Amino acid sequence: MGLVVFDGYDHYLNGNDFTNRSGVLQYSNTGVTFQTGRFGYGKAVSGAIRASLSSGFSEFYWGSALNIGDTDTISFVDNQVGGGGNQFSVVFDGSNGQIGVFNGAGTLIGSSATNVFSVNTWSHWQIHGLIAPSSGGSVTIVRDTSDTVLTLSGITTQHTTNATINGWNSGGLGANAIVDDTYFLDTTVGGGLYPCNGFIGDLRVDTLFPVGDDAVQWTRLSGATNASMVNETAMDSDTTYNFSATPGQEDRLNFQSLVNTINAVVGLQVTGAYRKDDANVRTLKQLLKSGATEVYGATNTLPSTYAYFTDIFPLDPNTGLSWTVAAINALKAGYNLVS
Amino acid sequence: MSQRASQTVAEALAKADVAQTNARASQVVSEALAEADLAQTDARASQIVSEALGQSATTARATQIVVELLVWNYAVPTPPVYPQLPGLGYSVIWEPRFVNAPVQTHESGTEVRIGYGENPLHNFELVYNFLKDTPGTIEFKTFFGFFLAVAGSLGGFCFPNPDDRSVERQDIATTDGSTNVWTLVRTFGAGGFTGTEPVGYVDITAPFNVYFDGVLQLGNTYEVIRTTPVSQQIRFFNTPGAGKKLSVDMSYFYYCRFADDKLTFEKFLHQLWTVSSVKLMSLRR
Repeated sequence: MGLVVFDGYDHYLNGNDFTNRSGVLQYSNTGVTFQTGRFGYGKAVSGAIRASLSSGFSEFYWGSALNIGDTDTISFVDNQVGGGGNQFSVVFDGSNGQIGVFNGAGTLIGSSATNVFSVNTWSHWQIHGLIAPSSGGSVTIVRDTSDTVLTLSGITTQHTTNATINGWNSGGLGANAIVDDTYFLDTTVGGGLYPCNGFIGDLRVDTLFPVGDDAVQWTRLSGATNASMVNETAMDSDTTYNFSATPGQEDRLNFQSLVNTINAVVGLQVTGAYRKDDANVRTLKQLLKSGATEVYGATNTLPSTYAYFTDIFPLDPNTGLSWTVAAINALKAGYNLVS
Repeated sequence: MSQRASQTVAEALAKADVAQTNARASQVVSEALAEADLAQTDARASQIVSEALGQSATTARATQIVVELLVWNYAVPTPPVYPQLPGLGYSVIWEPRFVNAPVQTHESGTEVRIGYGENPLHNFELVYNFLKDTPGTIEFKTFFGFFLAVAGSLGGFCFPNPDDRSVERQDIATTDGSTNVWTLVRTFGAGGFTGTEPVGYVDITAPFNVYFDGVLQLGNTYEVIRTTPVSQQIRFFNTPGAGKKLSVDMSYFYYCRFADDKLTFEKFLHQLWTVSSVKLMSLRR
């Protein structure tokens, strides 16, 4: 797997919409707000983020850009949905630019030097965690791409019944960080040029929106193209949408091109917001077409309120290799009504 | 051993005093079984519904879909590209200029000659015979706006020199087995007399092909690093083996600025403007 999931926070409407994610990554707290993202791209999120993953990980790499106003705490949590228990927490103290790592009992187990970060400034952080009892765990914190600011080994990082984490918390309780471009990796070696099973660096999430129809079969609510119903940069619920009750029908759409400063694409995911409008079961799968190859994601059962479904494609299905800018600029994506 | 009594109970079976016992009645009803008068009886209907258990024609709705990419290297955006307008006329002045120290001549006639820069800078002087400013033609406003946007000589931009715009099979290097990054250059000249310089910016809107010993390479084996002007680089993700001739097809820009902070536009007819001299100069950074 390597690359588990990522989020650029670019397409959400508000805090309520933020919790509509389903599948591998979900958020449970609506009390977040959105603002202009890092480098002026898309959006970033601030407030109490409560992220949960669909499975547990004993070792992981978490990366994200942070703009810390005063202080922030990133806690890695077991049993996130069931109430949670910290395995360890990374505390950014803006008063002296120091980072401390606390165990699940709240005891400080290590600190960086002071002034390793500045407040109100974007910086990128990678955190590697190995969850283990009896001094078998470790935590490493890397700034930007390769500046290691703290390494702790031989520490106890398991403080719940499980030697895993399945979520993280950021913000809240007086913290005031802005968060952007978050990714989560496990230690499995991924395919292609970017195995995504270690410190992979300061990455950004670029979000592409539909620009036109390639081949469409669903009925649009209004407008001239189906793409125009699903291309909003902030999810607009039932204001504009396409609909279908005919299994097998699919919409395939063209998307924006990458800006010409992108050199490499580490991974791609297709995310869409879908619902059913009455009782009865409706299932849907997302599609991706690269070159002549069309592939489908997981089949999802639609709820009655909009939910985001995400399918991740670390490699170009047309070549089996890492994505190229040219392939990204030519891809199609969409959705297919299964039943 | 002695016996101990922990509790003694005296129980008496007694007859209650009848005189002190009260009977209590809490309710008395009189019930009569009778036949109602049919003429006085109304039937009332307050609600009626028909309920069917079945399947509805449920539709699925899609309200948003995005493609999200995790990308590497958010380089500095490419500077604006100098507008290409039809009124560009002749003459065009192209003036390569080396930056060398003044020649020091000894009394004996011996000279000391020192170069400050390996590569020349380039000056250009252009003439615009007309720039239309009609409701459907925005040439004048485009060029005027471009000069404003780059703030005269302050901002750099990409200049597509029509006489030096692209190369095919440009030799870049011979691999040594340890290097994986090279600066992209172009060679200009003929007849055995050429000069090779780094290109200002690679134009990635045009085809970019890479060859080892004439064999086209897959696009996912390398990246073009465009962060620094006049230092455009190609980087291979895996270091190529030694002894391969690396060549590329590419289009490119000169990285330039306006030579002056003012530009004179002259309106010589209704909706027609001219600029008699636009001076540009290339930059190292």
